[in-house]
Amino acid sequence: MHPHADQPMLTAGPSPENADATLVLVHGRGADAQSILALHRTLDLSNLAGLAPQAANHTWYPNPFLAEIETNQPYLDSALKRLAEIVDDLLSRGVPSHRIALLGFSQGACLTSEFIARHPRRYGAVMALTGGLIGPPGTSRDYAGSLESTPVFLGCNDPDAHIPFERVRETEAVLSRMGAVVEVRRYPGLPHTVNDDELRVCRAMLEKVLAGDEEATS
Amino acid sequence: MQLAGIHHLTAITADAPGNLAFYTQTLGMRLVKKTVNQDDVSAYHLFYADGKGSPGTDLTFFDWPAAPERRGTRSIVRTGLRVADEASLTWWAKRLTDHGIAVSDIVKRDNRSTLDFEDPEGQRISLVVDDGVGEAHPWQDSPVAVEHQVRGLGPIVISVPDLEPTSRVLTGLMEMRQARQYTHAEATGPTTYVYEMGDAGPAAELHVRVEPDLPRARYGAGGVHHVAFRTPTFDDYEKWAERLASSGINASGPVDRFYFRSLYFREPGGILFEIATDGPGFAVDESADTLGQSLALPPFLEPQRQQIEANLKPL
Repeated sequence: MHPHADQPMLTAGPSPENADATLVLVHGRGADAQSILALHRTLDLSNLAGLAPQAANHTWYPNPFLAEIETNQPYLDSALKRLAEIVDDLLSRGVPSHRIALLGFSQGACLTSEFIARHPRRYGAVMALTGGLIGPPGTSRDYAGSLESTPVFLGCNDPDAHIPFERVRETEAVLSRMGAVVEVRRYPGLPHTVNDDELRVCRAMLEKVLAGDEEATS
Repeated sequence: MQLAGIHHLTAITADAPGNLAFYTQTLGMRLVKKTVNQDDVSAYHLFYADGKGSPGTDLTFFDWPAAPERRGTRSIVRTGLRVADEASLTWWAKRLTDHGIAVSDIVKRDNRSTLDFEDPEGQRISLVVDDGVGEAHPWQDSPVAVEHQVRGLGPIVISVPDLEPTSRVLTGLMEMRQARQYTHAEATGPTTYVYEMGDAGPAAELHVRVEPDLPRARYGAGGVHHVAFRTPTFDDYEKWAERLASSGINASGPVDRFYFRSLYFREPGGILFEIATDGPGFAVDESADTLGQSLALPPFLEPQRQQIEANLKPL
């Protein structure tokens, strides 16, 4: 069962084949592809392709990300599979993985960080804004493989109604152990939105992906 | 409300040690601040300037592991560095050649004597005579004699595919004045339009070259990231922030860079502009004598110093 399979995908900017890099934008619970795709325009970067998949019924999985993983199935597996299909499609279209960036907000940030842990490789950049790895406290994090120095940014307000900051720290530790270069920024007292500092960090990371390193392994 | 001139220019290096050696030892500029990109702390941000780190003299670099820039339009295509007179140009032509850097003939461009060269990663630089107008603050420990030292930045040359939208922002929003035009090389070369700020002169000019047939540039080593313009007072900075916010342009809003305050926006030709305050300056966290000697971090990054330093290659 793959409930997210036949959902729309919105695009912005040049096509991935004609762009210097591609950004996959993963929306949060209750939101939609259109809303997160607006970030592509806000980031205002030339020659960056934007792809925003839409979740079925506006949510990637039904229960909180701290709930038992089984209670979020089959939607969670379907959501992870959807991201894997998008990345595989980009790779098959000749976009090397170091020119693929992922950005998720809130539930989309949880999904994005869980996705890269389960599908590690050298991505161009990964930005998980207000989110972290999925599962109840104490979930074993024995992911296999390496993120090969992928730059990862975890930005989170604290306190947050949905995301305990300890989970952001745990995500930092797990992804670092998997070979990512992780930067965490904590924003005390800010609301559950993407803030200007996060936007600047994302822009700086994406500019670097756009400049690229031809030597990077893909 | 007038911008006072060029504030700084930020370029990209993929070779921080080589970059440091070239700008301090060959070009004789002073490393006035060794810090990190505040939005991407995995990268050094190196500031080369005059002896005091004066606004208008900083040529700065992000250290990115990037491929070489793909040249084209919608980018900053030449960085002017001012020297006092034509005798200095002759001296520089020999010095650069002796250091293995190819130089152009000394030419008159826009009625100023100019020497073109590229840094070791291909950044296009011109040494431009400014006739010693304005203040100079040489670096006493420079390997270059005081009279030949780089006096500051400007003019900066950008390339856009279409003059009109860029010109509207430069004159309408930024209050620059279109002063004159010249052709770059032969009469068949692209036309370059000169925009002046404040008291004008080479430290306060942006040169806009119109090249509709070029492909779009891509950021990379040897390329330029953005150019910043000077706003001397915090009062004017607030006014610029308000003006940008109400302009319909997608601007960053006020950003405190600790050494100066900034506003960022992309002009319609695709080039990233910044408006930056002259103060507080680089001596805000180091003594004037020891500028640039150790890794400086703005206070909000200080708690992460250990982690940041661990991610940087010693320099």
